[in-house]
Amino acid sequence: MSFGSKLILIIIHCASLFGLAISGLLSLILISKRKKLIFLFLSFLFVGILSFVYYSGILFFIAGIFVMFFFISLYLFVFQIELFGDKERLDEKLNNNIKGIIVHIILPFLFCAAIGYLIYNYTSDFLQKVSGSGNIFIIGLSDIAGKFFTNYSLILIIIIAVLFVSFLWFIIISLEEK
Amino acid sequence: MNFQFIIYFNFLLFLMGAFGIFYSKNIISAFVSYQFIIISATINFLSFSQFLYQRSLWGGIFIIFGIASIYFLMFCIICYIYLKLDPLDKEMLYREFRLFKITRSDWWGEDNI
Amino acid sequence: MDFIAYINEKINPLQSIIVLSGAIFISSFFVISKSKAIKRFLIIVTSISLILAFYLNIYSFISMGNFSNFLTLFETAQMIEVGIILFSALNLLFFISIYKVDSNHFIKILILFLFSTVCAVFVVVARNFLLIFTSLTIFILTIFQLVTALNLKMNKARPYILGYFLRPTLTVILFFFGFSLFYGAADFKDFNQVLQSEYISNPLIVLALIIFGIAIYLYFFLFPFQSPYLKLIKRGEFSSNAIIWFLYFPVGIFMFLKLNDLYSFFIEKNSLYMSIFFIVITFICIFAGSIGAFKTNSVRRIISFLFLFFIGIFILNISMFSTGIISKSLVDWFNIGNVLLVLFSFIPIYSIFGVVEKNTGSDSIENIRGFGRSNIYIGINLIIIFLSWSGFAYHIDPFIKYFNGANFLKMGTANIILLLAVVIAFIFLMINIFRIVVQFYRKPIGGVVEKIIFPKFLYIYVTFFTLVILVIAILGLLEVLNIDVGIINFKITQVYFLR
Repeated sequence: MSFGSKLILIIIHCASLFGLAISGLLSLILISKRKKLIFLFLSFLFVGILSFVYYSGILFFIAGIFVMFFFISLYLFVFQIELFGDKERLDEKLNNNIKGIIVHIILPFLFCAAIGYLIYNYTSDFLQKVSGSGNIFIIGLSDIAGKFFTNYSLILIIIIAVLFVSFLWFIIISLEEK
Repeated sequence: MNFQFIIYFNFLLFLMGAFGIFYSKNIISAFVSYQFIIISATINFLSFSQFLYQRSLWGGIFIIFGIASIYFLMFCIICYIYLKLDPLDKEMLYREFRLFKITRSDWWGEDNI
Repeated sequence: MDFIAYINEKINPLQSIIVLSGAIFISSFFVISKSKAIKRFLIIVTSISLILAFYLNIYSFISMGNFSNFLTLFETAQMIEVGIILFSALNLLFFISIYKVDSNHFIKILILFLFSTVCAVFVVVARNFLLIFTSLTIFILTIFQLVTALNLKMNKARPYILGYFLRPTLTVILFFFGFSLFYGAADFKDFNQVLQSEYISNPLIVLALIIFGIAIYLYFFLFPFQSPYLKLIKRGEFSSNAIIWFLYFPVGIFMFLKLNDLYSFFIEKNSLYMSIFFIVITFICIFAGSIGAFKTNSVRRIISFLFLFFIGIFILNISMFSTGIISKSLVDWFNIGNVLLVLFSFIPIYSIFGVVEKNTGSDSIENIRGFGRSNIYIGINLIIIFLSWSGFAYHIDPFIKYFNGANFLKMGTANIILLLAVVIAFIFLMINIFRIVVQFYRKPIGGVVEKIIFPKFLYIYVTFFTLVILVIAILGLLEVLNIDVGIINFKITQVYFLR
């Protein structure tokens, strides 16, 4: 692999990780639900770019179908509330009291920071010794399809069955029972 | 790209998701924080496949089946909220919903509702 | 016959799943029907398929022995667990038939129920990580669909269903992350490979096991995270509560038992800090469950708290193993015994109290005041079933053996604290039983108690459970008193068939 293409890969890798982190933080912190979902979708796109960096772009397309259904349903829910909901009831009251800030922001942050520090200490020795292989293997659709139908056909059958059964469930919840 | 850095970045994403779970005040934030844990696991699978194992499709296959099942579960949950809940309940979920809430009514007060 | 044997061998160990799928296939032809005759026909078809699946499960194991391949594993433990799930499903069919037969969507609910049973069996027989994860996720999805379908008319319960099912969603997402860490440690595909390799002490695997532990703790709604579970049970429909208690929780227990071998590897090292950690969790779960049950006057909440108490017993078993009081095989036996105790007692108790609540309109404990005077037969059955919980006292036996073998002073602080926990838990359990039994025979407030009319089938149903409990109690008592009956060569207290 030429130095130029390696450099491009490294730049895209760094940019997508950075973009993922920033859009993730923004979607966590922002109060407006629409902006949350926009940045969440952005972070999902950055994951897609990362999948290409890891030579597994095809996975992004296959998995993306299911993720899209979820995102669309989430957007529909948010837009329904915002368009038809009572604006006065929906305005979020910011938690200004000190107890709320300590219990819901500072304590979890300290807890997660402590856990992160412990994880870092515990795994640093092991991870330093790990040496990766430099070989590139691009996942193709034919490889995946081959594995599906030879080893994991049972799981495929379960997932297809659940789609059929869920269709019945959709009928149950969408029909009004008198 | 340094393998160690990617792993620590994934753990950071996981901890962001964990922080989001405690911090979330409504159901949308809860789902957003769930996505971070899923994203960190996905990138774990991808990076381990690329860096550690030659010609191993296990990571990719796990991602496909895992993402399919988890997102279908979450999709059904959102569908149920959308189709079956009263507008007032939907607004309550939208406005205030905590995943981990320790309330007095767990211990007394819920005998007659 | 050769052809049948050939087919049997090909589909091993999924015979029970094939039979249940056949029932789903037959039911799917009548999906839009609302006829009572067809509903009765399908109830009969479903019950026959569950009984046949139960029989085939045992028959295939006896005739073909252990089976394992890339995806599935079918040994003694799996055979017992699948049997428990199918038995539980047969009882759940009773609940769904009684409470939901008039629903327009009854046949669809039946199909959802059968499919959730199929997924539960898949979780148990799965060996490959991918099959375990996918079947667990789809099981939680089908339970969610079933609970929402059963609670269609319960408007109060809907937000609480969501609050409840977001927790197992978090469980599967944490499992997803945990499996990614497993993949990072080594390219293994099942727990046995990890257990038998040198990678078991790998930091990534240890982290993954901690995450699995947290995920399973959240799955069971153990204290202090019990809020959504209690709220849903209080507001949910009768059969949906039964689904949660007798299908959702047992599958979680069997999922936990899959991880038990890996946890045992670390617990066997008898680390003091780990013992202290498990003892603290045991104390919290057991005391919170019993105190919560004692504080409330709602029968549903009493049963919910006591159910969590019995889930806490699994953690007690681990604590006893971590301090070295009991061996690994005894932990397995205690765990399976606990599952059977829970199912055989809670199913008839809830079936009776469900009818009482339906007749009286509320689940207050005041409604069962004088119950034992008006419904004598059911009252006596209930008391026997409640007293079966005293079988929990068998947890004290290993301590007694330890006493005989070792000096009391050298027993170790951890073991003494654990013994104290077991004794106090037993006392609390007896207090809760005593409270309910006293309520049965108290004078009613109004003076006269109306006799509650139970369906005739319920008398036979409860009698069956009472007889099973009585037989096991008598056999166990004779063994404890070292009286050799000589009829069967089977000792309950020495069952080590799981290893």
